[in-house]
Formats: sequence, structure tokens, C-alpha cells
Amino acid sequence: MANRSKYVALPKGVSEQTFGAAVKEFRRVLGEPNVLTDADHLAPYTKVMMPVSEANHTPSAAIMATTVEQIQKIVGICNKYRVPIWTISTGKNLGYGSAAPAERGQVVLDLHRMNRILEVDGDLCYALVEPGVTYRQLYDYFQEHQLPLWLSVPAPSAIAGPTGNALDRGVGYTPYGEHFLNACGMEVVLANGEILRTAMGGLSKSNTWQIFKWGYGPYLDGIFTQSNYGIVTKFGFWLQPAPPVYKPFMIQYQNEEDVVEIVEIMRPMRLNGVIPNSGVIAHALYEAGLKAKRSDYFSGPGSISDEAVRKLAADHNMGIWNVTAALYGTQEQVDVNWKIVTEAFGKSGKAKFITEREAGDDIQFGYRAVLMRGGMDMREFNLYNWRGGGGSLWFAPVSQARGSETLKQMKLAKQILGRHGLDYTGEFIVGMRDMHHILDMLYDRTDPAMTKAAYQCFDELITEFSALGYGSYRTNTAFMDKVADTFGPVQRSVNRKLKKALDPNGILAPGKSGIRIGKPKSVFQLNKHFKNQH
Amino acid sequence: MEVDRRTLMKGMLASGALLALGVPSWAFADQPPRRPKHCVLVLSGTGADEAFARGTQAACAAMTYEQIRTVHLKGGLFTGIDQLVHLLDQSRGARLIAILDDANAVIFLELARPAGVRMLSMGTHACSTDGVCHIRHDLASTSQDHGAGGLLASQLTHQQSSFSITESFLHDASGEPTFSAWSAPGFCSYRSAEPEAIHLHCSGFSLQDGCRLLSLDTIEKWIPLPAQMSDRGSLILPSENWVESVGYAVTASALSMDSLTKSCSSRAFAHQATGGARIGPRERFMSFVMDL
Repeated sequence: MANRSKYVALPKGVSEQTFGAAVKEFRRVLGEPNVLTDADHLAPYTKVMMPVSEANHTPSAAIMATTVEQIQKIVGICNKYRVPIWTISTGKNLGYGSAAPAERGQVVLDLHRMNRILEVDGDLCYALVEPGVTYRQLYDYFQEHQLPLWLSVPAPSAIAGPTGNALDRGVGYTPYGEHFLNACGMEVVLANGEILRTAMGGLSKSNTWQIFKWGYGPYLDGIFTQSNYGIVTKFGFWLQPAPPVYKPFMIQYQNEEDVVEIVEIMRPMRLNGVIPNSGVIAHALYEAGLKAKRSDYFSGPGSISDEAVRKLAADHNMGIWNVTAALYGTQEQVDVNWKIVTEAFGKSGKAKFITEREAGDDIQFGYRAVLMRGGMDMREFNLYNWRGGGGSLWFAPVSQARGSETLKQMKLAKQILGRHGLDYTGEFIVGMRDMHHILDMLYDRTDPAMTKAAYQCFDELITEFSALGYGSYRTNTAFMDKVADTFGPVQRSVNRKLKKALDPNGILAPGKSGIRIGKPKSVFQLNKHFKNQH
Repeated sequence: MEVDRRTLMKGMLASGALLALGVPSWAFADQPPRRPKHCVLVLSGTGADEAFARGTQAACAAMTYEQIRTVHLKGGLFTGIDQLVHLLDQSRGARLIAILDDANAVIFLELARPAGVRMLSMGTHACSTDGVCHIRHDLASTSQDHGAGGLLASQLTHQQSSFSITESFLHDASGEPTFSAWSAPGFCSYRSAEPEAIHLHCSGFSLQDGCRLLSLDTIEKWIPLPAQMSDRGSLILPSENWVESVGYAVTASALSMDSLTKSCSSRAFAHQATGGARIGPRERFMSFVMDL
């Protein structure tokens, strides 16, 4: 979206003159080079993979803070001029919206330079970091200091960071894979500039801030996740001690209906700890980009045929379902658990077992094995080459860890996607009782018709899944209001009341998770030319 | 990482290709204010690298530009980001033209942003048989100074290719648009002023079909637009390969030739070739132009 202002965009309801005054004050606090308003510098913040125009998510400025004191002054300026800020730590949210703000004209507060590792305790196995710290930084730190500690990382591993990922309630693939579950203590700059240290951090001399989550009174940490009630400036989380033995494995099945058997076998082993990590049940199409391109197997309009998928799987030694999990512990523990795993999965005769020995240098096994020990590996993103065209939307409904439910969700998703000519590119990340059903809706942004279909398809996925009681655990910035609506008016109302109490001027990330002090935004106000017309 | 400094121009001059290209009138004009002192072409092992680099060579030759070196990113970015981080760090002051597959492009951009780059343009390019137009481009530039869409449209029209291009400009300080800054034989141009000025150029498609193809709004709001001849449109690279044309157009824009007249906030091109369209290599990739 072009404008004839001095600025690329302006915050909603803020005049150019007022915004100019705010920018001047930002520069006074942060220095000229740390306040970006020109188009060339802002362009990298506008790129989205969602099927909407970048114009909907163009920031008015990007500002970079390095200290808590600077952030306190920034929120003061924002309150003074009613300028909204959209905070990112590393901004690697990709299919959930990347670094672009939820609403046009918001100022991106980029904390990637606030990247000090404040503390790593090798005995108690925790870390305290600033928001810009990346997993790669921590990984290198452990290597350098020879600390026998493991991270749990999401797929963007090296370039992402623990603060942003955990605050958005992301997941990894180790026994510590439910990241917010392993969060412990945070420091938050509130909209009025006050600094809150949650739980045990409230005691000035506490040495239990990163080891006891609950503190005293209401547990507050949760309200600072997937929300806009404060700016987290320090984040504590737990680390896994490196086990003496690590045994990754893959089990392949060749029919879509087999997911029922897989889940029914896995659930008790997740609940009783035989399989301790967040394993994955990945459909062949989720892994296909590692080994092939869609055009090698299918051309023309419409979603890929089942026949083509079976041929793809056969050609590349993949299952239609590919279960990856791992065992951790002493050799004795691993041996016992491996016996339990192979006996359970071996009963029906459908499972094909692959360990490191059989896998050799297989790329699919290889990248999963790295991620399940918290290593740095981004090869999962080969899936963006499967179809190509740069479009990606992550749809993330939660499922019971029950075979029949898993199959029902998979079939429903495939049916809706098929109506729009899109493929089922999905996986289930296996919790103890729940499954994160992750669907990467891949589409070609160079094809306007497919881009439009992708938007409509995502909208239908949310509508039809929520009608059956399936809620999304996370969503992209274009659909946050729609997903918020599915959780009902009372949740939205309570969220808004909290917002009004903690951020009465609504300066912190308005629109995050559909939360703002004003009226909820209609999901039909969002789009403009090229990417959508509604 | 393999560095091949300034060999591109030498090759071009030796082959005599410069003469074959013809030299555009604007090539000898005053140097544009934002013409880079040094350029780096980053190739990353895509199937389109070679043809894209040929287009880059041709553009450099046409603009008598010699300060370009080529860097090959080996092995992709998924398991090793150090080489790119090093390249971004060591190439300060240069203008970087990069071509990457769709997956590596995602990581590339995520590393470029914290490096504080100035992004001039990025484009997604595809040739496949699963759309109405086989050759498709989605371009975004920070301003019309760096928009490659017009030049690319001219190139592809000359190649008898059916194609679509959408192009957005992040910032536009233009006044009221009254004419098209691009034209080509056979194209009809239209303007839509609501909510911002969009220009649409169609050839072989009716306005209605062009709008449908590009998922644009209903046809009622479009106004025919008188054309103005464009110097850029007259510069044709004699190539039959659409990827080479992309390399040419992206590089020519990166070398910052004279600015287009500022006239719209976004534009689109739709062309249906007559008598059996050529398809060309079925490649998909992204291009970036950025200052480090």
C-alpha cells in the first residue's frame, strides 16, 4: 500500500505530525541508527508468507532497544503519543507471521540485539536469557563451556530463540518439548513502565527464581504468553541434562488409516514415560520436500492424488506415516524401553523399524534425529521447495491423543484442503494426552487464484474445525481475531478487561491473539488488492 | 564459498555480446544517484543459477558496469548459516543480488533482517503448469526506482511467453497518477484509483479476464490509461529463456538506472501469447536486491 506521507505507514489514528514527534523521541532514547523509518530498512520486516497483502502488515518504523531502561522510556513515549508497538525477539515465526506486525502502522520493537545469556546453571540445569538470545547462541555457549546440557528447539532452531518461541507456546522435539511447561520465571516491562519479576523473582535476593515456577499467589507468567500485556525482557527456562545414551528411531506405516494404531500404541508409552519426548507422526507429504518436488509426481490443478503420494513414498523409502521418537537414559534403560517399543509396534506386522544403523545418511532420519537431541538443523524447511512459490500458513488445531480423533482430524483437513486444490501437508506432535496437529498449508504466492484459495481454505479450516470443538493452539497474524472468536465471547471479554487494566492506552501489540482495548476487529476488514478480495 | 571476481564482464566483452545487445539510450546518461559502487551476485545452487547469471552478465554489459563479483553459497543454509553470516559481514557497502530456492530464501531473509540490510526489492518467480499463466512473478520493491516489473514484462513479451506479474511498491511519494509509465505493443493499460493507484496492463486478455486471472477487483472501477513510451521497454535482451530475463531485469533495476516516473502504488501485467506460448525451464526461485 503506498502513501504520500513521509513515512511508509502510520499507526491507526495517529497523524504524521504526532508520529514524527514520537520518532524524534525514539531517536533521542535509542540513537539515530536504531530507529528505522525508511522503506529500504523496513522492507525486511514486511515479508509475510500468509495469503494477504504485505501492505496489511507494514510497520511504520522499526526500533531496536538493548536495555530494560530504554524499553521503559519507549513505553513512556508510546503512551504519550498513543503509538502502538509490536515486539519481536528474533521474529522467526515464518508461517505464523514472521516479524511483521499484526496491524499496519505498528512500530516494530525489535529486541534481537538484547541478546545476553545472563546465567546458565549446569547443576540445576536452567538458563536465564534476554529475548534476543538465539538457540544457536546457547548451543555454542554449551559447547564452549563444555556443559552437558541439551536444548529443546523448534524447527527454525539456529535462527530462533527460546523467549519468543516459549512465549508463543511453541514446541520442540525432546523430552522438554512443551516449551512453556519448562519456562520458569520472567521479567516483564509493563505498559506503565513498571518492572515485574514473576513468581520467586519478586524477592530481591531470591536464588530460586529459575527453579520454582509458582511463587506465591496467582501464577502470572501465563498471561504474558500469546498476549500483549507486557514486554518480556528476561526469560528463565529449564534445560535437559545430556543423557548418556540417545537412541533415535523411526517407524513407518503405509496407510493413512494406520494413524489410529500408531496413536493407540504411542499414548500409553508417552503417559508412562517409555517414550519421553515429543515425537512426531509425519505424513509423507510433510517430509517430501526433503527428497523430491511436487512437480515430479503431479501436475495440473487440484490436490495431489493418493496414488502419486504412494509412489512418492515408495520411491524414497518413506512411510505414508513416519513416526520419529527417541529413547534417552543409560544403556540399560534404553535397551529395556527399546524392547517395549518394538514389541508394541511389532504386533500388527505393519510397522517398519529404522534406527541409525538402517538409516545411514538418510536426510529424513538425519534431521529428525538432530532435532530430537536439541541440535541445530533447519532441513525441515525443505518443505517450502515441495510446491514452491513462497506461501505458507500453519494451521495448528489440538487433537486428543486418541487414534480415532487423529484420523478424523486428518480426514477433515484433507477434505477441506481438497476442495481448494491444496495438499494435506501435516504432522502430529505427540504430547502425553494431546497432539499438536500441525498443517503447513503450502501454496504458490505467484498464483493469485491459488493465493485467494489459500485464504479461503484457511478460513474454512478454522470454521469447520472449531464447529466440531477443535481449537487452534496458535495461529498466524492474519487470522488471530477469527481464532479468538472461536474460543467464545467470555474469553475475549476477560482478555480485553485485562488489557484495559494493564495497558489502558492499548500501546502494546494491539491485535495480538485478537486482544485490543477497542472493539474486536471484524475478520472481513483485512484484505486488499492482489492477495485477496472479499 | 567460491569467489569469482569480475570475470563476468570479461566473458561478456570477449564474446562480443555487448554489441549484440544494443546499448540503451539511458546507459550513457548521468550516473543514477543510487548506482552501487560494488555489486555481489550470490548464487546458491538452484537450477536457475546459470541462466540468471547470464542475464546478470547481459545487464552489466548493457550498463557498462564492471564492479560485480560472484559468490557461490555451497550446501544451502539449513545446516550451516556461518557462510552467509560471513558474507553479509564481509560485503558491507556492496549491493547484493541473490537468487535462492524458495526454502533457502526464507532463511536468507531471516538472516538478512538482523544484519540491518536495506532491501530494495524481492521477487518470487515460478514456471509451472498448474496455473493459467505458466510463468508467474510476484515482485515487491521499496520504490519504483527499483521496480523490475516493467522491464521484465517487456522481455517476456518479446519471448512469446504467456505470463503474469504482480508488483507492489512499499513507498510511493507520487502525485496523482495520470498516465502509464510503461507500455508495449499489444497491451492495453488501465488504472484503478481506489483505494490506491493500481495499474493493470493486459495483452491477449480482456480486462475482465485479466482481473480474474490476477484476482483483482471487479472491472467497473478500471479506467483506460493513456500510454507513455518507456525507455526501459525498448531495451530487449535477445534471450529465449525466461530465467535469463529475470536475471537481466533484476540486475538492471539493481544497477539503478534512471527512475521511472512515479505513477502508481502497485501494478500488474498479464500477457497471453498468441500461436502457442513457450513455457521454458520449469524453475522456481526467489530473487533479492539489497544494500549491505
